[in-house]
This record gives sequence, C-alpha cells and structure tokens, in this order.
Amino acid sequence: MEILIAAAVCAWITFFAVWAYLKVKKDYRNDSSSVSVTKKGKDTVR
Amino acid sequence: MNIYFVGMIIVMAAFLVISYFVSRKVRNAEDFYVAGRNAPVLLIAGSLLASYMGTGLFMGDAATSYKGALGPMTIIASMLGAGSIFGAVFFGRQLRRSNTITIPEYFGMRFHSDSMRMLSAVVSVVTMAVYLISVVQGLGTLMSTVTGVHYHICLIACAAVFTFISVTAGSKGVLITDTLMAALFTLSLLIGIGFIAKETGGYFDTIRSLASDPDTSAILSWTGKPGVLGFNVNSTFDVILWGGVYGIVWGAVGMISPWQASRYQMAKSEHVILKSSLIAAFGLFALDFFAMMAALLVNRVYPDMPDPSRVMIWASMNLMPKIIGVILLTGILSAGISSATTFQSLIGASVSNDIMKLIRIRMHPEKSAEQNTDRRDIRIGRIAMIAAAVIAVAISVTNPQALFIIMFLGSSMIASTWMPVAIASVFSKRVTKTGAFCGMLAGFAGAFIYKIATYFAGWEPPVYLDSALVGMVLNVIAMTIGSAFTQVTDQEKAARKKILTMPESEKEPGDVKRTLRVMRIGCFVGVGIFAVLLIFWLIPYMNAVGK
Repeated sequence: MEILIAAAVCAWITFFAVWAYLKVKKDYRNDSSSVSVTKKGKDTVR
Repeated sequence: MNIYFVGMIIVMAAFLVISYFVSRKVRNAEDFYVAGRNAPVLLIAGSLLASYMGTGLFMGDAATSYKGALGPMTIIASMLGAGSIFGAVFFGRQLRRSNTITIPEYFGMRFHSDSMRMLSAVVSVVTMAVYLISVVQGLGTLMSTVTGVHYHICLIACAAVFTFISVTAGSKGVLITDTLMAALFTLSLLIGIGFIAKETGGYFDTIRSLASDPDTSAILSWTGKPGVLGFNVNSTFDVILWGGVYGIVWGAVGMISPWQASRYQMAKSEHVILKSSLIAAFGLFALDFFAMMAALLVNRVYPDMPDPSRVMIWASMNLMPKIIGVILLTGILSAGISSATTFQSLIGASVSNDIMKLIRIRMHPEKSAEQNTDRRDIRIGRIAMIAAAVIAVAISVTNPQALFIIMFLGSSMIASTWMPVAIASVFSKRVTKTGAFCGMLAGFAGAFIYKIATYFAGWEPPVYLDSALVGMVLNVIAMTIGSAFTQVTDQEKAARKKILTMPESEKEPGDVKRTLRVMRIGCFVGVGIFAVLLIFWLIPYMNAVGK
C-alpha cells in the first residue's frame, strides 16, 4: 500500500508538471510568431 | 548568555546589516513593495521556500510527524508542491501581467471593482495578521527555550529584527534575506538530520528499528499512528479523505496564497515565475519531508516527549555537537523570521496600496488622479508594518482568550476565501464583479461562522465537512448565483483579456527555448519525489516489516 501511495504522489505531481508544460508550450505556440513547436514536441526557433 | 543565544544574535545582526545596505537602493514604491519587478529565479525561488517554511514547519509539522503522522503529512506536502506548479502557470503569470502591486489590487483591476479590492485587502490583512501572530509566538517560544531569556524579551527582539528588515528594505530586502535564510535553514536541516541519525543509530537502521518494533511501527506506515489525526480519522478511507481534504487546503496555499503568489509580482519575467515554481515544488516537498523525518527519528531515543512541538529544539540541543546545534537552531529561527517579514510586508502593502488608498479616494475623489504619491505610500506602509508587529507582540504577551476566535480562521481561509475566486478570475468568462464579491464574502464568513458554531456546539465535524471545504462550497455557490443575475461588463472583459495576453517581452526566442527546456525537465519532479520517498522511507521501512 505504501508503494501505491508514493506512486500516487509521483503521479499527481507529474500530471500537474506535464499539464503546465503543455499549457505553456501551447501559449507560446499561439502567441509567438517567432517560435514554432513541432508535432514531435521539439521547440524550434526561427 | 549561552552559545545558542550568541549564534542567534550573530545571525540576526547579519540580516540587519544586509537589509540596511539593501535599503539604500530603494527609490520608489515599486522598489519597496514589488522589488522593482526585477527579481531573478534565485531570489523568487528562495523567497517561495522561505515564506512557506517557518516555525509552523519546524515546530508544527515536525511535531505531527514525531507523533506518528508522517505518511498522511507526506500526501499533503506533495499537494503543496503540485499547487505551486499549477499556481505559477494558471495564476502567477496572469497576476504579473496585471502589473499590480498587491493581490487585492489584482482583484480590483480584474473585476473593475473597488469593493472587491477593499474586501480582498481586508481579508488579506486579517489572514496575514493571523499567520504573523502564530509565527511571532513560535519565534518567542523557540528563542526563550533555547537561550533561557524571558519569553517577552525574545518576542520583542525577534519582532524588532523582522520589523527592521521589512520597514527599511521593503520587498527587495525581504527577497534577499529570505533567500539567504532559505540557504541557511536548508543547509542546517541537511547537516542536522545527519547528526540526529548518527545519534539514534544511523538513518536506515533507525527506520528499520522503529518499523520492526510493534509499539512504533505505525508511525512509519502511510496511515500513521491511529488517532493522531483526530478521533474522526480511524479507517484507511478516513486517512485518504483527510489527505485529500487537507491536500486541497495546502495545494491552495502553494497555488494562490498571498505569501506565495505575491512573489510572482516581483519576478523579472514570466520565465522566472515558471522556473522558480518548479524549484519551489521540489524544494517545498523535500524540505518538509526531511524536517518531518528528522523529528520522527527522535522517537528512537526519546519517545513520548511531553511537548512534541519542541522535538527539533530538543534534538538540536541534545543530539548534536553544540556548533551544529547552533547552526540548526539559527536556521529554524531564520525560517521563522523570513516568514514574518513576508507576512508583515504584505500587511503594509495591502494597508497602504489598497485600504488607505481607497479610503482617500472615497473621501477626496478629486485626488484620485494624484501622481507622485510614492513617499506617502511607503510611509503609510511602514507605519502599518510597525503597527502589525506591535499588535502581534502585544497579543502574544497578553494571549487574550478572544484570540482563539481569530486563530480559528487559520489555514482554511486561503482555500475557502481566495481559491475559487482566484481560479475563476482566470478561467471563467461568466464570473462578474458581483459574483466574485459574493463568493469571497460567503467563503470567508461561511468558514468562520461554521468553525465558531461547531466549536461552541462541541462537535468535531468529519473530515468531509471541514470548514475549508464548507467555505469553498459556499464560495462557489455564492459566486455562481451572484454571476447569474449580473452581466460581465466591458471593463471586466478587457481586464481578463489583458491578463490572458502574453506580453511581447516574453516572446524572446532564446528565453522561450530555455524555459521550455527547464519545464520538460520539470516533468520529472514527480519521479524525483518518488525516488526520495523510496530511498529515504519506503525501502528500509518495507524491508523491516517484511513487505
């Protein structure tokens, strides 16, 4: 059970961190004309 | 005069000298209240850690863990970290874009409402005052226990130091001293836990020994020792519920509490906000976990301590060489002072920039467009900070019975009063100024009245009826009803658009690339925390109990 709780702790922090990353990446893609983000997730700067 | 007293005096004198030099660079109200909006990652991350880590951690959380609630406390510490990341992305950046000095000013600007600004300023001052009193009492207890000096003198000495820092150097000084204090208490904790472990028989051996002893095994289990979380928390389901509810409360603190989110108004850019929140998320969790683990280890040599809130003080004075004890105790003192400076400077900012400004405009409308009010704003803020310190010391000295009423508000205030409105201010197109006002008022008053009523009725509500949850639900209901009968104005639409629009200055390609790289690495924060839990708790514990 202890391992499950630790895994849950890891999972929800990872969830928020990934959500934050995707949100910020999307914001830069929508707002910036100088940055493009490829489908593979690599950030390329023109 | 013992060596601990000398150590504390040296550290406090050092911070006074630093803040004196920083004060010479304060030129205007922006410098004083938001550090010129120019703070780098190091200072923002340091202040995020130092503002949260106070006597509450080293005396409160440490005591709870010592008594046997490490597992449940770890769950809520992780929610605090998650809240920190969420808050930076979905509230911190928007807060900075508003170009405001305080969070009440942000609410006033977002909802185009002076009433909203005034209400949130009053709530903010009350909240900060409650926390300030709590920290002042912790500092006085710590210093008098360690040095043998009278409690009242210790209260006055600590208040004089943190007031000098806040009043002279403002937020700039607070950020710098916070960061130095964060470095000091992090270092002292890491050194301290090493010596505690050495004296108790080695870190891993102590865990194995405590876990294999039937009398102490439960304090290392994830559910904790039965009854330690209250008589309503008994079953596994109760513990999960407890972790969930208080996890939300702590998550709200990491997300939108004034002493965390206001740091983002001081950041040089949004890139700084995003990077520092990731450092804070891991740092908050790791420091919390190791402070709690250090306290728990003491069970091996001194179980059933009469006053568990002094477990870290006892360990510093009895389980480590004097010089290391001095370092750890000055680290704990620094943690308390750094939190006090943050609370105090926020009180000054809200009184000066929000409450007094709105009263002045109401009384003299012709002066609403007045320029160059910096000197007056700083003066009013300084007076408010000194008044806050005097009141906090006076209350701590007299300890009036009526105090318990206000202390009831405690940690549930952030979740019940601020969180729903803060989130709605960014996410909702429909929430109006009336809705936001009703929501904040209902959350604040509802949680307070409910808490008082349950106390006088002699009823301890189950976890799912905690005042924080009740306040949050009332907040959302009142906000929904208030918004349903009113319309969003053009000014509110424009304000929301402003906070959702990324400034051009944030789009520099090099900065964007670096920030996204850091955030990709940040996706592994959870894995790092999992590794810490496995190595420093679960593997030795599970080996010992044969799981």
